[in-house]
Amino acid sequence: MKKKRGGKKSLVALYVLIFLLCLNLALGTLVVAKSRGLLIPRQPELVIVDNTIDLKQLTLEQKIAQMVIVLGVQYYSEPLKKMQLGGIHLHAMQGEEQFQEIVGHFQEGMKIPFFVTVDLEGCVNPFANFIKFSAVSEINELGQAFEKGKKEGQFLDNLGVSINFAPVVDLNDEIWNCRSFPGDSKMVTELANAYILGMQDEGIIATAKHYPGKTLVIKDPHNYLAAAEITEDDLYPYEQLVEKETVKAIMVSHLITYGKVNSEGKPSDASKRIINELREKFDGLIITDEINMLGMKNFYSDLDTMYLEVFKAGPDIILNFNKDPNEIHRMIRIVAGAVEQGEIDESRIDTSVRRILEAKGFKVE
Amino acid sequence: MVSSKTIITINIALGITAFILVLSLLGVTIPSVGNALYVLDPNEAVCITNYKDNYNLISTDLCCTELQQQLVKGEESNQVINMNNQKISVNKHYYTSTNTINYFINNKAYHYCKNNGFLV
Repeated sequence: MKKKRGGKKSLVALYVLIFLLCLNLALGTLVVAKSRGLLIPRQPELVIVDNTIDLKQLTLEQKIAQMVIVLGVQYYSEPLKKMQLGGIHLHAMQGEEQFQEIVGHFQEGMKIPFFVTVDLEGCVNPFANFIKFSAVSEINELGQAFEKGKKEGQFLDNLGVSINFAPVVDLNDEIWNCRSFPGDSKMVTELANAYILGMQDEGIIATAKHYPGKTLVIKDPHNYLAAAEITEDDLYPYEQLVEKETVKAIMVSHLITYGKVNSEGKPSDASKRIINELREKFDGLIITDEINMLGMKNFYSDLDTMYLEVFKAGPDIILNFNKDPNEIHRMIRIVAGAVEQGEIDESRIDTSVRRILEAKGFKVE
Repeated sequence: MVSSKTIITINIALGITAFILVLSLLGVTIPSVGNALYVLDPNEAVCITNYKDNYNLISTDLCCTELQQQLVKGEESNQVINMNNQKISVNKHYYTSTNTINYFINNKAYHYCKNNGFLV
């Protein structure tokens, strides 16, 4: 009798073992698939005729995705392409071939191509392993500035880059000593203007940053967002570049600002007031600084609140360099939910997407 | 033939593994050794930018974002940097080339960036 009961116990334990093995295998497969972003659904294929896109053809998630630029990590290319995001940002690599390979890989099969973005400023140079460019602090003539823009523009165009997050037009670089043009606000403006003309002559969108200024002087070793007073001098380069209708994109910083522009205690790129005031004068692309920065995340009680505040403020493009594609997808779903509940006007999304698609060379209906 | 006691032990282990995998699917994270290393390090996180002869401190927050953009990440560099009459110890060096901006950080800053998901 004892032997029979013992035998039955062993059999049950064996069945449980087989069940748990299968369960672990299934769960393990799901965890691996999730970590690679493979559980993210694919957005529908678009039909584009005569280079014209009908906005009504895009799902809400597709439209919001167009407003997002992420890190171009090749390991996650599949989910990033499935989401049909607006762009990828590239960091430093060993050689030119690597850049071309990764750009080609991401762009393959995309009906709406990604924006490909980099930070090429001079002393900030992701290509420095194989090509050198001068720092803007070394440029003090208009001809030099124009040639620098043109040379860098040609190089970037050859790689498949579409937007350069440069030039910095903030004044007086007291931190890095190389990221700002020399001189007063007038000289910085003229040099930046010449640089932008050279770069955009080669088909690359240049980006004046970081609106509304003062990002090169705040020396704060702490891990929260800094605040700064903005003067007329700080705003002068941006106002002039906008008036000359030179620059096609402006990046807004996380700095909390007061003085001539007031972000009302919020990061500037999450301030409706700052973005609206800029929008009244400027019809190009308004881009946030990278929202995955810790100071930005620490400012808000949670990520969901941060995402909604940034999108509600009204920028066209949001940079989110969180490497996890699941988190990017979650951000898109949160914003889509807010639109569906009426918290964010869908027409505001449409306006930005129209601007983005036109910048990518499409006609938009 | 494996004893039933052994099978039961294996089942308990598999059960715990399944539980951890479910937590992982739900996005629940477990504190890591790296986190413990950060908490136990008594120093303040330090990040120094360097371009030519110029050195300056920047916030670790901004630093983490810049570090992950560099080509060479986390090269061992245990040295003391003299800066504005201060001697600051650093442990790691980040750069793309010697003629672009270089970054020097200490282990505290390294663990801070790593624990917050940056590719350092």
